[in-house]
Amino acid sequence: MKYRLLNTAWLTSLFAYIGFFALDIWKPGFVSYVFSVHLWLLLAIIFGTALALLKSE
Amino acid sequence: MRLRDLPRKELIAHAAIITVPVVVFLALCWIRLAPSGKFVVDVNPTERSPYIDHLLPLDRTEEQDDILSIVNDPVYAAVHLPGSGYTSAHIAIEFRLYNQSLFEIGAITDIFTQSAALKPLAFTTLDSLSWPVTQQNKWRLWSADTAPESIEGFFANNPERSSVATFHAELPGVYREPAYRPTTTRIITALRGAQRFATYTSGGPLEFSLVFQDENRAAGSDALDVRVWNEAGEPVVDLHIDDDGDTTAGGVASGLVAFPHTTQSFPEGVYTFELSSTSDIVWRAIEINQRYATFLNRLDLAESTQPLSFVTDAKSLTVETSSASSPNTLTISDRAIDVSVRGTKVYAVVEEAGIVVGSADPGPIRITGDGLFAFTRDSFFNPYPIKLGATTDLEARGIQAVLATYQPPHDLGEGWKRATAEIDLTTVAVEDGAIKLVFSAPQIANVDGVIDIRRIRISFHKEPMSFGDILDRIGSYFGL
Repeated sequence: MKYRLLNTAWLTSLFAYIGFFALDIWKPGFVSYVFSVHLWLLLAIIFGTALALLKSE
Repeated sequence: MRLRDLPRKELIAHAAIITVPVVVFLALCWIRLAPSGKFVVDVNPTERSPYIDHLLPLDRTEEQDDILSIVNDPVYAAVHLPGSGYTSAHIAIEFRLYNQSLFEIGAITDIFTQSAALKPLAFTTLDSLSWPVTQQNKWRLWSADTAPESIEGFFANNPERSSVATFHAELPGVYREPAYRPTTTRIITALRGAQRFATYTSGGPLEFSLVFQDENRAAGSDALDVRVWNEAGEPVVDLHIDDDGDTTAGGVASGLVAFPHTTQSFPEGVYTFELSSTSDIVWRAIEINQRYATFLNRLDLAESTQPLSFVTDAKSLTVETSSASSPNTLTISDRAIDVSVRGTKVYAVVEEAGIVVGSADPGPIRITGDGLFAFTRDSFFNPYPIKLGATTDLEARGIQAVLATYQPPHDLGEGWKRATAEIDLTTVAVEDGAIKLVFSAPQIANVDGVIDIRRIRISFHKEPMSFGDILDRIGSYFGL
């Protein structure tokens, strides 16, 4: 269950990063006015790393 | 494992994770739509912002720590509107001035002429003025004598217009000269290119004669227009004169062309002549059946055998010579100004009060200033209230009162001040969803002034939105 949840979180944050990044380019300031769009990338790295560690166990 | 085979709690957890970016997206839409009708952008000018671009040109600004300094004028910044429908922008700026008296802000209203309606942020000349002040609504009146009970009462006493200065304000009433006697004025000093001068009539037709020559130095048509504006700013004469037929840059000058004209009868008042032409046109003689011919803010002299003699009430002058035959010295009120370096603007301050006399040897020279010019004392008049500028000396100009729509900035301590300005977004030029702000600091480079800016806050305003409006806007925003 933990693996599946981490996988969902990783994919969600990765696609959210791509989506919000594109949105901020299309409409400058749409995301970056409120927070850095790279926060989604940070989440994707954290969840991805956790997922990889869990898989190696 | 299939989705429906997942335990209920895990299914909810997956849904919750996926919902997070969806909720964030909806929240961002809400912020961007600004249903309350207000969207605020608050930036430090040294930082990148999606809404306010860096101040340009870069060689007119300096950066240190979190402070951006303006060292030359003007400076521009593109401001990207956060959406459509915004009708006004309230701008608040935190700044401090060093050796600079005037700081204004505005937005470009015409992208072709780059004209802007400027609003004052700070004017230390008025901030430090110790004269009694009377305030009525947005109007403030400083008087060198005792404070008048009301602004209307002050102007009911008909103060001399040239002794009242204005700052972002217009004086009530119009200029009248009851003892005026018309005479004929003839200017034989050769003038180059576009000219503007004012005259006065007690009523009747204006008779004028223009003698000009097309020097054909630059390629293109040298057609010219002669317009006369009344004191309400309405054109009352609009004449067009075609090019001489030579549109080459061969330098073959046309013969002298005389253009006499008599207008219909005009009522008493001040009339402004606008001779609109390229710099290939040289006005060899201007004659008018009125006493006054006072040039506004500029004299542009062409090659001539006549030495230059003029009078002016300008106190801040910029002089430029461009030709080998230009004079090397300009004398103003017995003070010689060296203008021997061609193509370089020389800045000069006239310290003497009132109208002063100037002279120079024959030759092309351009003189611009914060006042009026005439070729004889008798043809000089000043129907305009003095517009206060960055370097206006109240005493030297004989100013006895100042009328302004200006509120001093709030003091934040340690020299920092906070001032606000309102910009009507319906009247400014919008290009690619952005407006262009102008930060104006007149004469800042000449006086080695600096303006530090640490914060720019812009709140955009529009009509608050209903739920139906929100749905429509979401659709149109994403092109649906």
